Amino acid sequence: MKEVYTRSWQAYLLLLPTLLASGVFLYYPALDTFRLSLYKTVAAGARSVYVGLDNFVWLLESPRYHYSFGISLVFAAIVVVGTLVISILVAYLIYRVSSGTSFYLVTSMVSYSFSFAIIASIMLFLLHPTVGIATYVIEATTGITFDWLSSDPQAILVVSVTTILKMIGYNVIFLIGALSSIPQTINETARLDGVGSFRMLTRVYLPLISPTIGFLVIMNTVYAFFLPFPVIDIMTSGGPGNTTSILIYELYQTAFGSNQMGLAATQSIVLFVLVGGLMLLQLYLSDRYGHYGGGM
Amino acid sequence: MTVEGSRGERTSRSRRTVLKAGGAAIAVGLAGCTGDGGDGDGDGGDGGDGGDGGDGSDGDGGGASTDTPVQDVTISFWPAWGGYYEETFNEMVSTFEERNDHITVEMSAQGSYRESKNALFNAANAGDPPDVGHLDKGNAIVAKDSGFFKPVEEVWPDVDPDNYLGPAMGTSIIEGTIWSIPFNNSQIILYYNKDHFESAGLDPETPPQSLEDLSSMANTIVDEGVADYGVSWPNHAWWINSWLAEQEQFVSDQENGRAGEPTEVLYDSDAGQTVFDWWMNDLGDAYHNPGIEDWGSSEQAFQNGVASMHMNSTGSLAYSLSGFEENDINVGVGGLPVPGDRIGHSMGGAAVWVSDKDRSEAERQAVATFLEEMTGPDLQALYHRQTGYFPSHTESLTNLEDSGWFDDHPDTYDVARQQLDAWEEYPMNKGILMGPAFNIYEEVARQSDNMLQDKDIDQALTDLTEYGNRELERYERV
Repeated sequence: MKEVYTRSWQAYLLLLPTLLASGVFLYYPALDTFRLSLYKTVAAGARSVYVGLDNFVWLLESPRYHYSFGISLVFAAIVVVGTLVISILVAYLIYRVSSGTSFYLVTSMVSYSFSFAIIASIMLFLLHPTVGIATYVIEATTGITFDWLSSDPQAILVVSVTTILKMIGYNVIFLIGALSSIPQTINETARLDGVGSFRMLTRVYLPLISPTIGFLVIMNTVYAFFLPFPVIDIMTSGGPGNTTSILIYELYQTAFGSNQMGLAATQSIVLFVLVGGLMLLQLYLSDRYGHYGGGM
Repeated sequence: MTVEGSRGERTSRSRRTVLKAGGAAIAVGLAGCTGDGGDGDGDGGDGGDGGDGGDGSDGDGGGASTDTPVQDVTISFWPAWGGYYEETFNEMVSTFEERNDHITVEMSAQGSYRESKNALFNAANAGDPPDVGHLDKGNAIVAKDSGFFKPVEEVWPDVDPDNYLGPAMGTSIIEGTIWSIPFNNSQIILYYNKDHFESAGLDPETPPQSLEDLSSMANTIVDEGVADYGVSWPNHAWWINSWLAEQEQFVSDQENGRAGEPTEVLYDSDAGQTVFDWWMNDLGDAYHNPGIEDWGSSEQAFQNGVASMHMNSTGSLAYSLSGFEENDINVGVGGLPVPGDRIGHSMGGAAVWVSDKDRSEAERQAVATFLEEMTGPDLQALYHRQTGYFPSHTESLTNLEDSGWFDDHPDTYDVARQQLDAWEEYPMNKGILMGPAFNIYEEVARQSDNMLQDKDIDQALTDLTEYGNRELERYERV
């Protein structure tokens, strides 16, 4: 194969803008976060005092942070499982319909085209305990009092549903692509053998697209820890109480509410280690148990 | 051979061309990224670098120079509130500029107290703050400790604290030094729907005066089926702090941080127990919970008739009243219902702070003049008329009275004024000075929320106290 470049410096030169941008806006701030986590600061870093690992000890001893850590794991589990289950069903149905595929596909992706803040604002409008039109319908049809500003389980449900709604489109795109790459011979064989749709999905398709599912589990996990911030900020402000105050929201409050940048940097590192660890675990599991044999 | 050589040469030349073009593009791009000139920090307005001339010396000395020739100066001001309030700020600044045609004020409204604080701190960290910033009173200690600001008395030596509202100066004077000037002074006011009162069999001209009245009336309204809820207010620590002050109870030791660095919060005192017990048990389900510190939802509940009473800040009197009028709500106004005898509660709001930066003598004088006039009698009176915030300057109230403003608004602005007049100076209602005030007040709201979900009051107060004490222990004043 003919080499594009005969000198490595040429390739590095073309990579330079990316390296510069990544360095300035990503890697340097990341490294500085580690440094900042060793300081106690006032007023967004106006004054800082070196405290070593005291910030980490502070978090370890903080009951509120313990709760936030736990609720973040619960929330992530709900969002990851909920998103995947719904996305798989939606993608499968779209895959199986014989007409209107494009319409259904576009419809499933509409929510993904909006930002989290827009989705949260729309859901707040629809589900507001006092003035929400969907709230009225829910209460009229079920008889329950739908007031998620005063109910922990309802608050978690509302925030989870909003987050899942936003993420469905992203997952459906990948799942449709994976399903579409399955050879048609498998479908024909299954039809001839009289295999039912549900068994087909669970025993044939899911194993075949397991690498895609593994990828989505990883991405959804990362997203679940970071991206729902606008949902929480707009809809619940971390409440009721601390119920929906997940780690990223706590970090924001620490950084921009009380302006304790050192402590916020510490929280950022904890979040990084947690999500990084989960990612590595999931990569290991998907490599070990994922099916990469294709359809033949 | 030659073909390959030729092709190689042509390829090499074309690669060189690409690299040259790419290098040129990078150079142009990097030149565009070096942000000197233009906006200093991207948050609107540059930092008031003093116009033309200036002698380049640091003019922030103590004495006022009366012989310095007038020269054109530009200063910058970042008020916290935007939207409805920005129009008023614009009018005030325009009036100031007309009177002082050598001073240009570059104003950039930040949108909210939090945004204002973050913008100020970030700008100061970047070395390009505005001359005058606008900070929530709760941030007084953090602002002082940040090192970003100069005491106002150093920039404006002639400032006389006696010219300003007593309750408003509480967080502006710290350890005997005048650090800021109050600008946004408010107390809590109560709005009630007179039609709902009448429907519930209550006297529409008699708003609740005590907590007992409030819970009784609120429950009556709900029991009579007039509204879903009797009363709504934003779940914010200001209410708890105010009710503690009204019971002559400090929020923290060291006299609310005014006698020294506080080490413990006192929400679990008898006074605190009284308030929370009343709220959760006596008022109970008649309270509409709008969410943590959600002012908008609380007002919306009142506007939509979901709640018959609503408490809010006097700082939004003008805005709220116009909204109620638009929605044809027959609204009455009362003061904050109190646990016992009324002594007056702490003033909420904000203050203007002067950034610590190099200034020429002309710039210093301009900032001093700006502070003097913007917090002066007539501009503060204008601010009050257009917003409802109490004017900072004591003469403003006199002028407003003389002009008949309160006589023309006996049932609204005068009610707020009467509540202000009833303020008596006690150590408990002079203002709270805590470094981690934001964290502690937020925790008050969260634990209140927990109590609303039937968490045991004693346990919630224990958790709140532990949290508050931990935060106070961590914070060290400079």
